[in-house]
Amino acid sequence: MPHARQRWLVPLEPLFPLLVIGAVGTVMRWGVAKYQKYENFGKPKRWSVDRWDRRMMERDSRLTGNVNFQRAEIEAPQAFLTNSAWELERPFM
Amino acid sequence: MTTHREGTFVEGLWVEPAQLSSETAPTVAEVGCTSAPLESMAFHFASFCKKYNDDYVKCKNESQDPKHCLKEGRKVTRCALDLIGKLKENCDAQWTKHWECLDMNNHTLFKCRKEEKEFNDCVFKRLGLTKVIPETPEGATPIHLKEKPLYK
Repeated sequence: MPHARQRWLVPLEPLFPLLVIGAVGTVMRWGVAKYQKYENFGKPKRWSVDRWDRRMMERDSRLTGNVNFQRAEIEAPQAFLTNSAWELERPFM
Repeated sequence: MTTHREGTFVEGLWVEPAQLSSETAPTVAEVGCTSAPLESMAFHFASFCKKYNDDYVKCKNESQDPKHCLKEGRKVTRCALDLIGKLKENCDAQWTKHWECLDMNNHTLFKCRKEEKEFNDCVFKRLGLTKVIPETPEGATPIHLKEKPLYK
């Protein structure tokens, strides 16, 4: 019985589905990046945040109101001298 | 702080009602920069304010009590305010570009070498400060001056 002839040397048939998967993956990554930028006022999310970064970000939020805003003034606003990041909890139970 | 938990039914943040009395601590204004500008000027601050920084660190090594090092801390703050004023006067555009770049890149220095080079050149020209990384081995180029840092 003769051997069946191979159709193509390089498999071109799965190329189109791979392109579809690649396109879907790219759209997904772009979408997630866009959503994170929307949540973080136009900047990518901070990642690998350690204790130092957390404490600096807390200081940032006390200076400017939100961790995503930066300011480069010489002196701090007066409210900075007495504000804090401690949450006031309404007593319950 | 392992005993800290998130607050439930949070109604705002704590604001301290009492001020420091003027006998214990004549107030000096706090530094008004957030983390990205401070990070980009950190090495220049180290060389500009070296003596006050060393004093403060030696004082802190004696005791961890906050009241012990208020005077040295105020000197460090005044020096920092001075440096920020000088930077805003002389190199404001390059400094802003560098810290905005840091802000977009998760505060990693290796992503912003181009802006850092311009900023360092401007600071060297106007204020005479160079960025020195303290523990580079003898004969090795510091990482911020390497042309191709990813190659061996």
